[in-house]
Amino acid sequence: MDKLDAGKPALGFSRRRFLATSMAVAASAAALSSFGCSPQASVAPQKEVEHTLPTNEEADGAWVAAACWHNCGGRCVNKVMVKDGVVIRQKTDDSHEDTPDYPQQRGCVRGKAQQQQCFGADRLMHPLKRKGWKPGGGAASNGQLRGKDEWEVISWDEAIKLACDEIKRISDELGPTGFYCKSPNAAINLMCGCVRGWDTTSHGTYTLGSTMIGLPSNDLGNANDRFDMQNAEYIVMWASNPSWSTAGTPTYYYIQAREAGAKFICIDPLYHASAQMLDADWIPVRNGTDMAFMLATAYEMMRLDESEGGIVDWDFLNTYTVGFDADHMPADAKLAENLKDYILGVYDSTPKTPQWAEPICGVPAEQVTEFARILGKKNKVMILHNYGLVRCNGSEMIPQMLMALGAMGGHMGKSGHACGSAYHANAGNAGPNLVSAGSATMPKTSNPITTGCRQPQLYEVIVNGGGSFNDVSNAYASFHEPIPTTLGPIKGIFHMTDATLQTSLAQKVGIEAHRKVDFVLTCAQFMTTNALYSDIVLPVTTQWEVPGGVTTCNREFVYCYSQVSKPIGESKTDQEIGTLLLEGMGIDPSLAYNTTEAQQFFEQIAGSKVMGSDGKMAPLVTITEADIAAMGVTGAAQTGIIDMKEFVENGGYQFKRTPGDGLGFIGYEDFVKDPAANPLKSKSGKLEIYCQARYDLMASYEFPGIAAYKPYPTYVVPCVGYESTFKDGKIGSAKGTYPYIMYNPHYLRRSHSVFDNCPWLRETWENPVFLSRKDADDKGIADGDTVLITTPAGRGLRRAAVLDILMPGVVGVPHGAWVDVDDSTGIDRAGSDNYLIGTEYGGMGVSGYNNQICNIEKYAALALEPDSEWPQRIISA
Amino acid sequence: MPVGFYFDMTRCTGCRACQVACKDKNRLDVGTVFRYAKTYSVGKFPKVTAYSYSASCNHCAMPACLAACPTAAIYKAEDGTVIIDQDVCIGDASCTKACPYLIPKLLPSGKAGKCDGCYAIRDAGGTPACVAGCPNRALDFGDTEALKKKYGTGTVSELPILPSAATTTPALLIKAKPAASDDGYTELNW
Repeated sequence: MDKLDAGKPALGFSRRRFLATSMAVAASAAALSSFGCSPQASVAPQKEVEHTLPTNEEADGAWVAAACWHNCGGRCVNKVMVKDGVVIRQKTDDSHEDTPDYPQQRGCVRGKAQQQQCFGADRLMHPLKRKGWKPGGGAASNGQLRGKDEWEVISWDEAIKLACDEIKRISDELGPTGFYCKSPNAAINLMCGCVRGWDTTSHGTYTLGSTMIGLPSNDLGNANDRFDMQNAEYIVMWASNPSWSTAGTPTYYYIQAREAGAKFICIDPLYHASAQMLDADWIPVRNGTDMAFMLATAYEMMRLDESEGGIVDWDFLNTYTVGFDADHMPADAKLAENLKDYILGVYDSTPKTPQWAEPICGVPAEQVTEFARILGKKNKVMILHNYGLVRCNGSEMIPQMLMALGAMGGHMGKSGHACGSAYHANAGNAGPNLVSAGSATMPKTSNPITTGCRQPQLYEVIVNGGGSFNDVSNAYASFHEPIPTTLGPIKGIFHMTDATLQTSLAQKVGIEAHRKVDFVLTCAQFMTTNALYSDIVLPVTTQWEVPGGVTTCNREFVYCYSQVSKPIGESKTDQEIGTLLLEGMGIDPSLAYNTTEAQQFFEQIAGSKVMGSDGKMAPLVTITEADIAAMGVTGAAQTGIIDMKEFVENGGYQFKRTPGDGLGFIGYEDFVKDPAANPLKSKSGKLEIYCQARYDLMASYEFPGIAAYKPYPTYVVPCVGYESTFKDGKIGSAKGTYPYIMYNPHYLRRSHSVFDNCPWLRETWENPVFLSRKDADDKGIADGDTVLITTPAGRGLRRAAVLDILMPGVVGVPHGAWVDVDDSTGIDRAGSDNYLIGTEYGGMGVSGYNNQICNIEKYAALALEPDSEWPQRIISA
Repeated sequence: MPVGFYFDMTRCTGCRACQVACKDKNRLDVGTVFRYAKTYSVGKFPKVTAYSYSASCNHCAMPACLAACPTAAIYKAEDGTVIIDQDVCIGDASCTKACPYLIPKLLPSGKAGKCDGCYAIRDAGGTPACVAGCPNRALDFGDTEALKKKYGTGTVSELPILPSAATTTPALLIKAKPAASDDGYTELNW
């Protein structure tokens, strides 16, 4: 395919048959005039015209199950019809009749524009080299031109030679610590190794020691399944907007729970799309102050329990938790303090009453009382969070406090009750997989070093030419005892599979870091932020151009996608690029890739499993010798429950569930039934509201502000947060330079940074800055005005969306827009969230995406055009 | 009875999946939409609620577009679908001005276009793209009498955000939320 035109008008309407309509026209005109309400009717034409009915452009085409593979919170069916290299249409699941119990796996607004990603006019077609860059390091690299320079097309041979020569040169000089890569692949591991950056990204403070306090890893998986959602009386959506964060099927489960009678409660600074649709009661909480609201809720639960009774489930607390009160402390506690006495004010003479909390969190006292009553043990309550509240500075102890609230009402381990996450494609439908995708056997490679550094601090190390820090992690949600580490200079940066420079905080420092090094190598499909600040960009295929793949989507569905198109332009697959790089380094590529991609696809199909009637997972797909021969792969025939041809053509397999099928799931059910026989992974085997192990690990990092924390939940003033909006840091005093709290809601235009370049989505979702009506009025800002957002870290522009559904004092900058810095002003026109966030941190080092501070003002120097009117970032080199 | 759309407002999150499904099916470039979804709030912080509405051609019984067309390019198919014949349309934009719902659009081709209820897809046994693409099953299309039977009688054909149904008698069934009957709405520009 040479011409990419996804989303452009197709050929027009085809003829099929004729229909005489002159009578219809006359009749309608007469009808209109008899009602006397259409002046046009009197001049309506009466002439004889023959019409063609629209014809079906899809009649002789074939639908292909196409990949929709992003980190979006979905995993849905996406089918595409391509004719003569042009997309005719996409559609979603229609492979079986749609019923609430057996729902089609329908995709979202973004998936419907997938063609504009894969076949976009801005796809990179050839290897690119930045014009001002020369190999050899130092001044030759002209690093300051990164992001501003022009590009030239080079051959694959030249690109690989230049890259390998630089990698060898830096590796010979500095070894593996001379490189940084957030997510190294097999080729990087074998070529040179690298220092890794860490970031708490999605799961925030749950990434630290969730199992130590008795939760599943990252608190994933211990809510209930979708049918049991319908048994709840109240469903609390805590920092959880499934319609935007887990678009696709999950919202349909919430609808079914509502239609079964559940009442919803939204705890969020924004009365978001899910809350609107579900008619939820809204408790607006200021970002990053949930702890104050939670402590006050717990106080009220205890007060109501004393005065009215029937609120706190003391049996549950006493049996299943430790650390709530002095009589139930864990054996390893070093501090004779507990949550209950802290809430009652025993240690600081400050009872954590609703009146204490209101100035912090903004929730009126009576609303706290109302919520405390709802959380009482007599109600069937599901507390479902989606991590937004733990992507805040100072949110370290939220996981223990949320768990404590659930336990106080006894909302775990029983039908209709839950306390856990509603995350990603499993939102509203927890439980073990009933079907699962297979995986291909690949050679194991490992990074020669394990060094990891918190992401913005690593940028600072690069900018400073080296530095010292405590290495506490080198992989997501995998923390260890601190290793004091000193690094020298880092001179090479790789982006093989990540979007880190866009999606990680402190982007401005990240750009400086990229400009500091000798060499930046990126694999990209478009001129992404990573690519823009690189020296050599290698065009990589999308998943529409690989042989295929199988992915586990949710517990009931595995998706099987097939190749839609040959690689676009000169783009190559990740494996092909890795192979070229390894060959260029004189390394045997089979150490990383010893099978073809078709073989890997086959192994994913063959390894897919389905739960049998005996409760055991067995092969899903029936494969014959003929199937194996047709694919040109090696393997053994096997018997499953769906033929391979049907599996591939259908786009996977959906397990058909029915209510009462015995395959439902209740989180913590075994533990609650028999805690002695089914202990949790914590040291005590119980839910540790006071957890010595997690606290000790966190304290050992010696990060800033750690002295304020305890091993149980307390309110901690964050390094940056609501208090920082006041001049002297004291709530209620005069406001400071940055009087607003800024957060980064997920936004339906994008999946993180993916899709931000798709024209339809830029038109459909404008990506404004969210302002409350009060704040906009105070600042004289109207809908559509250009707003300058200023933070201590950077400045950005966005058009205003003035909202009555946003809490005053809160500014929402949607997450993931591709940064677009005007070099003359240093202002980012795209409103990239991370360009506005700095390097401050504290506690366990959580990435505080959701409680930064900012100022807003109407920007007179420029009226920003809608994003959809901006030219696409197309490299014409 | 003629065909038309059913819209369940209680299920719509304003995600605009329908809007892009429609653009995809009709191959519409930026600047043209045949269907759109918008969200409206009612009230002021903190006593505020909101609802969303997905709008497209209502295949009216008395289509103002059809009546206004000087070349009779707009016709009704036998099932009541209102269609613009691209071969006959001269692009004088009468329909774009006549439709009280502002649904017909002048296309880059110079002719007018709008939703035809995915006539060809339905004729081949399929479902309109917006209906099939809605993740929340908030849309349906079909014979309006059958839709009334399927979804009950509690539907309306007009709202404060829409023109009066008396003008063109839209084949439109809306299961509305109480908030949508409030005249004091504000369109969300998010």
